[in-house]
Amino acid sequence: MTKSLFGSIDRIIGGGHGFKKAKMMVPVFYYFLFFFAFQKLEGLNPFVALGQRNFSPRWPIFWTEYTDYATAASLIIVFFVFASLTASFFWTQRIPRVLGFLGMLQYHAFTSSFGKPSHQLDLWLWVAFLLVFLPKNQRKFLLVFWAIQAFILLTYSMSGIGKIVMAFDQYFKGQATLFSPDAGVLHITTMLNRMQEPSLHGPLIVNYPLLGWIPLLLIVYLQFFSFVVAFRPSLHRVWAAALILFHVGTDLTGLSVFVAPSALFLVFLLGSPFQISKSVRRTILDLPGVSLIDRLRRSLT
Amino acid sequence: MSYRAAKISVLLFLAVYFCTGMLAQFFAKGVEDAYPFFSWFLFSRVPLRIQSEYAIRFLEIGGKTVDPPLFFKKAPGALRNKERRSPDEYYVLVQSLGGAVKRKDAEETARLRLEIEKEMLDHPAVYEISEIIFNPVELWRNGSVMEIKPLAEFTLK
Repeated sequence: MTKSLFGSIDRIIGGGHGFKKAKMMVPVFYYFLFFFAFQKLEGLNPFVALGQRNFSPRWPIFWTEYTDYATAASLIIVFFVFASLTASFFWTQRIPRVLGFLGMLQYHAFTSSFGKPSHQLDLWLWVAFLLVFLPKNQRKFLLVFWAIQAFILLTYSMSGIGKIVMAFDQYFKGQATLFSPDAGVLHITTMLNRMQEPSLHGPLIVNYPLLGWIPLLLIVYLQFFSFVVAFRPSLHRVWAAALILFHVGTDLTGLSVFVAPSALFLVFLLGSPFQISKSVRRTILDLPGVSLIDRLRRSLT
Repeated sequence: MSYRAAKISVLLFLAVYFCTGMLAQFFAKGVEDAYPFFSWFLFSRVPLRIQSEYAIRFLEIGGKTVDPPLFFKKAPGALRNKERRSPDEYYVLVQSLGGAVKRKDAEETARLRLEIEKEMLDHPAVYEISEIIFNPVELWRNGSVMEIKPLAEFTLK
């Protein structure tokens, strides 16, 4: 199995043809990171004004116990801004990339220290970590780039696995499951009741439950097979667009707002250096499940 | 590091992340125990068709009886300061208060009451904390609940 995985990775990376494009995309990540950090400066005062309510520092910011809350909050955000700016300027050097990662880690740990974290920035944190290991060698550079793509897609597969595992659990408990036509409506109304926020498309889905259920099933398909797509470059761009649309959809229905990962889809998957252009028919035949049926059909004929 | 060793490291990293996330989901005391690893089990359970939760309802505001009682989460800004707490924070706070009242934890109840009243209620009021049983679709459509079980009544001066 390892041999087959190694072979697949070698085929994707090939002779290093995507190196130029990959090298163009990496600094874009740091530009986004800086832009994001800079935006947080704007929110510094409200952050400090919030005070220490429920503040329970995570391990990366253990040092905040030795300083007051306002100083810690300021230091973390200012360091994040300068670290990400340094990484944007000198992204080809490892030490600035380490700084960029540390800036992100401190900020991530800080925002995760108020009870349950939102996970909006988890992917950013791990991508910044993986980029620390970016080597100069072309093939290894592309390998790290692919590792980032695979990691992002793996987290979506984990989410898909979670939904399927829990569907079985709920089925045996006699509860509504992912496969119940009202599943989408139950998700949306539960969240709307809790958040008391207006929703653009929530009411439409409540009136027509299938409009919530069918996209939910498509989302589970999309999520479950995401990691498989890491090994199918012809689908990188399609999957990036589909996952971005998925987040736009959950935002419109009021289910959840998950903006931050979309920037990573743009940088690492929509701009994938491994993308192979194929006809629409060939691309469809590469889709997980469809490819299996196609292989079975060919073996029978 | 050779290219082969780099490939092994990448696959190892992905496997470690996957396994740690899953182990954290199923075995850790809290899903966040393995920070910064995460299982990504988000919205994995479909919400129940009949749900129960704790809710605050105003019975009196400014000395006047409110009939029918007004749900806190439907209350206007003067009673519930949306700027100071997000709906999610409010939800967690009310559920914690309901839990504390139900298990007769006087100290925790007093602490949570203070937190709610300090941050969110700007008027003198009488309010109750209840356990409500509802269908989420009906609650959202027309605000109807199937059953309300009052747990305690508090006065805010």
